[in-house]
Amino acid sequence: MEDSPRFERLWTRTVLVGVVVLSAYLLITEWDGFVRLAAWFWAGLSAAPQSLSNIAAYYAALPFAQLLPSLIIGALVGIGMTWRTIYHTAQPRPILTLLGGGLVGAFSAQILSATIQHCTYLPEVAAAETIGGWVITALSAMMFLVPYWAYLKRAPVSQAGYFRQRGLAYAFLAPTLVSLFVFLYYPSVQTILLSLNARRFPIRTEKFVCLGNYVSLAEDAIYQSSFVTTVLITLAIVTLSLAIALGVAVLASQKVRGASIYRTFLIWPFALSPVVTGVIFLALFRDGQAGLINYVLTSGFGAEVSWLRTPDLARWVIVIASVWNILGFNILFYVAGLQGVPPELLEAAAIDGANKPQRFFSITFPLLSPYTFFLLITNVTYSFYGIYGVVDALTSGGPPVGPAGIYGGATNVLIFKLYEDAFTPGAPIGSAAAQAIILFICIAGLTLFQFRFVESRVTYAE
Amino acid sequence: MKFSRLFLVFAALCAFAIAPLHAQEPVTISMVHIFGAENDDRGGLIQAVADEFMLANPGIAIELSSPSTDYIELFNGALLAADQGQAPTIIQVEEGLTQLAVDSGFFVPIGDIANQEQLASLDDLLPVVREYYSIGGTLYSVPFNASNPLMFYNKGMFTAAGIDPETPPTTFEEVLAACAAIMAAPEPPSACMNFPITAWFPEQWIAMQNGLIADNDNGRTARATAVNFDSPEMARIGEWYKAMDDAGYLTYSGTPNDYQGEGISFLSKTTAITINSTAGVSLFQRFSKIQSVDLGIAPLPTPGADAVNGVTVGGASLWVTAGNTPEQTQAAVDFIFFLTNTEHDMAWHQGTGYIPTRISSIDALTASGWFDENPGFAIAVAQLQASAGNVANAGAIMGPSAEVRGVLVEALQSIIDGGETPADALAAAKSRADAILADYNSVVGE
Repeated sequence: MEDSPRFERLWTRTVLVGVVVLSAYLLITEWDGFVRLAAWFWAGLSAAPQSLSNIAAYYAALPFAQLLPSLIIGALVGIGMTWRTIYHTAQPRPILTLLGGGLVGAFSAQILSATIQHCTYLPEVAAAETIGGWVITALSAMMFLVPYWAYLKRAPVSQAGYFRQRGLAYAFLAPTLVSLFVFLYYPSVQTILLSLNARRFPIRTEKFVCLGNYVSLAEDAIYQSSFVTTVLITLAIVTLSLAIALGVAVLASQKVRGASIYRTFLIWPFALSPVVTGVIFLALFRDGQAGLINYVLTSGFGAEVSWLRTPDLARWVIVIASVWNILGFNILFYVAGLQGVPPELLEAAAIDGANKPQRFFSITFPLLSPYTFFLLITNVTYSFYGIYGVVDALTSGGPPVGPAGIYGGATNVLIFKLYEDAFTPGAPIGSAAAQAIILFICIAGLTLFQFRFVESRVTYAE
Repeated sequence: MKFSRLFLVFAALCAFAIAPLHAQEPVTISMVHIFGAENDDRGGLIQAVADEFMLANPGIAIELSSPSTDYIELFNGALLAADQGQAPTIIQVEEGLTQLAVDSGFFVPIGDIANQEQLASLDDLLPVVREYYSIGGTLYSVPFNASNPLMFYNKGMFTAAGIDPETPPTTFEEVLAACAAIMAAPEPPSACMNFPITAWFPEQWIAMQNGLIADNDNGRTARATAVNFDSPEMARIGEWYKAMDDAGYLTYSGTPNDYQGEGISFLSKTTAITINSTAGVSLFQRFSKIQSVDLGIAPLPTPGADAVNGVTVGGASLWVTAGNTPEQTQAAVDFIFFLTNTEHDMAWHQGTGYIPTRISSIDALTASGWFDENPGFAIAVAQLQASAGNVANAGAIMGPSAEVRGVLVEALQSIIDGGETPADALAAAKSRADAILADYNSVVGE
C-alpha cells in the first residue's frame, strides 16, 4: 500500500501527540525524581570551583618525591607509545609530536594517580603496591594518549554528509549521555574510590587504605580459591552449553512435523531468571529425600547421593543448572545460524562425496563461526556475572573446603563472593568494590583476548 | 496565542507542584516491616493497629510499607534511603543487626526519647527479651516479634520405635538414644533427625550452658573483639553434630539456613525429629494434618542435664531513626508503645504465633485458657519464661554478626560434610571470625 501524504501526516501527528503525552505523564509522575536529578547535577556543577581549589591545594601539599615518579612514568609511556604509533606515519615535526606525547602522558597519568592520592609512591609501601601503582599510572597515561593518537592519525574531514547543527546533535545525544553518566560513569568512579577505602556497609565511617584491599585479596586463600572455582566453572559451562546447544539446534532444524513447537519449548528455560532456575534445581537435587532425584534414587536403587554437600558434585550441579538456563539462548542463535547455511554448498559437497559428518564439520560448523564467537563471549560473561542467582538458591557458595572453609567454598564463585561482601550487613564493602574492579578487568581482558586471537579464526559471510 | 497557551499549561504545572506545600498536613510517620508478601496477613494485623491509632490520634498519619520481605534487604534499603534523606521513621530490625544499627548512628535510642510512663511499662517485658535490646544499660529499641527454636517430632515413628511419644528426648544424649531406637525400628526413616544448619541453634545451646559467644560480656560492655568458638561449651556442641552425623542420624537439605526445606523433609516423613522456629508452629500444625503426621512439639533439647540457663530470644525489634522532627519522633514512639501494649501483644501472638513479650499478656492468655488449647505455644512461652535473663542468654551482639554467623555455619558444615574434627573446624572458625571482628573494629573505631 502506498502511503498517501494525508496518511503520513496523520501518522506523524499521532506519534508526536503520543510522545508529548508520554513525556508529560513521565514529567508529572516522576516530577520529584527530575527535581532531585537536576539538584544533584546543579550541586555537582556548583561544587566545581571548590573541587578545583581542592585539587590545587592537594598538589601544593604533595611532596615532590611522591609526584615525580608519576610524571616520569606518564612521560615515558607517552613518548614511547607515541613513537611506536607514529613510526610508520609521516609527521611534519616528529620531535615536537613526541614531546607532545610526553606532556599528554605526564598530565594524563595524574588522573588516576591523584585519585589514589599518589599513595603507592610513599616510601613505606609494600612492593606489590608499588608495582600496582606503576601499572595504574601507565594505564592512566593511556587515557588521554589514545585520543591524542587519533588526532595525529586523523583523516582529512570531508564536508559531505556532515551534520551541520552541532547543538541539535548534542540535544539528541543528551538523554543517552545523561543516563550513561548517571548510571555508568559516575558509579564506576565511585566504585574505584570505594575500593581504596576500608568501609563496613552500611556504616559511613571509612579509612583510606590505598591499594590495601587489592593486596589483601591477592593474599587471601579464600579469594584465590574463588578465582580458580570461577575459571573451572566457566570452562565447564561454556564448553557444555555451546556443544549441547549446537547439537540440539541441529536436531531442532530437521524438517519434522511441529518443529517450530519444539524450538519454542527448547528456548523456554532462557525465559527464566537464574534464581528461578536455582530454585527448580534445588527441588531436584535437595538432600534428605525432599529432592526429586534423591527420592527416585532411593526408591529405585536404595541409595542416596549428597549432591549439594559434596564439593565436586555441588560444582557440577551449579554447572548443569547454569547450562540448562542459558541453553535456550544458544539454541536460538544456532537455529538462526543454521537457517543461514546455504543449501547449495551442502548439496555440492554431497555430490563431491562428502558424508554427513564431513559436511557438518567442513561446511556448517565453519559457517556458524560468527555465531559461535558471539556466543563464546556472551556465555563467558554469563558464567562470570550471571550465575549469582543459581549459586545463591542452590548452595550459597558452599560446601566449605577445609576446616570452617578456610580454603573457601566449593561453589563460592567471584560474583557470589562479591555480592556477599557488598550487601551483607557489616560486610567489607571496600573489598567488594575492589573485587568488582578485578572482575571487570577479568571480563574486559578476556573479551579483548577473544577479539584479538579468536576472532581471526571467524569467517563472516558476505 | 500559541505562547500564551503554553504559558497557561506551564503555570498550571507549577501550581500543581507547589500545591502540596500549602495544604494543612498532619504529622506523617512511616514504618517499614517485612510482612509484605502476598497472602501474609501479618502486615494486615499491623495495619489494623495503625488504623486504630490514627482514629484515636487524628493529627497523625502512619504510612506502613514493606519494601522487602527479607530483614537484611529491608535494613539496607532503609539505610540507603536515609542517606538520601528519605529514611522511614520506624524500622523493624532483626536481632542480629543490633550492634550494626547502634554503630550506624542512624537511630535514636528509645530509652532517650520515651517518657517515664512508657519506660516504666517496659518492666512488664520478659527479662530475657528486655536484656537482648539493652546495650550498656541503654534500651535502643522495643522488641516486637520474638521467636524461639522448638523441637518437632513424629509421634507415630516414636511409637513404632518403642519410645513413649509423650516423653520426647530433652538432652543431646537422649536424642542420640532415641535416634538409635528409631533407626533400629523395622521401617526406619531415611535419617532420624534433620534441622537447618544455622548459627542460631548453637547460640541457644551456648546460652543454655551459661557460656558466652563473644568476649566483653557477649559484646555488651564493649565491642566484641574475639569469639569463643574454641570454648568447651562449643566443643560439646560440635561433638554432638559429629556423633549424630557419624551414626547417620543427621541430615539436612544441603543448603544452610533452609528452614522451609527442612520443614518439608520432616513433614514428608523422611525424618522423625526436626528443629524449627516458633514462628513455624502454625504451619507445622496445619501441614501435619494434611500429611497425617501425628505431630509432637517439645522444648529445644539441651546439651545436657546441667545446661539449665535457658534460651535466648530471636526475632526483631522496632527502631526510631534520627533526623525526624520532634513531632514525628514523638508520634513514632507513641505508636511503637501502642503497637506493643498488652492488648496488641496478645492479638499479635494469637494472629502470628510470635511469642508474647509481656508478662501481663502471658498472664491474660493463660487465664483465658489459650495455652491449654495451643500447647505448642505454651511450650515456647514456658521455655522463654524459664530463661535466666543474664548476660549469657541476652545473646551476643557483634557488628559483622552476619559474617561471623556464616563462618560458624561453615564450621558446622565442614564437620558433618567435610569430615573435619570439631576441634579443627571450630579453631579455624575462631581465627576467621576474630580476623573479621578485628577488621570491623579497626574501621568502625570507637
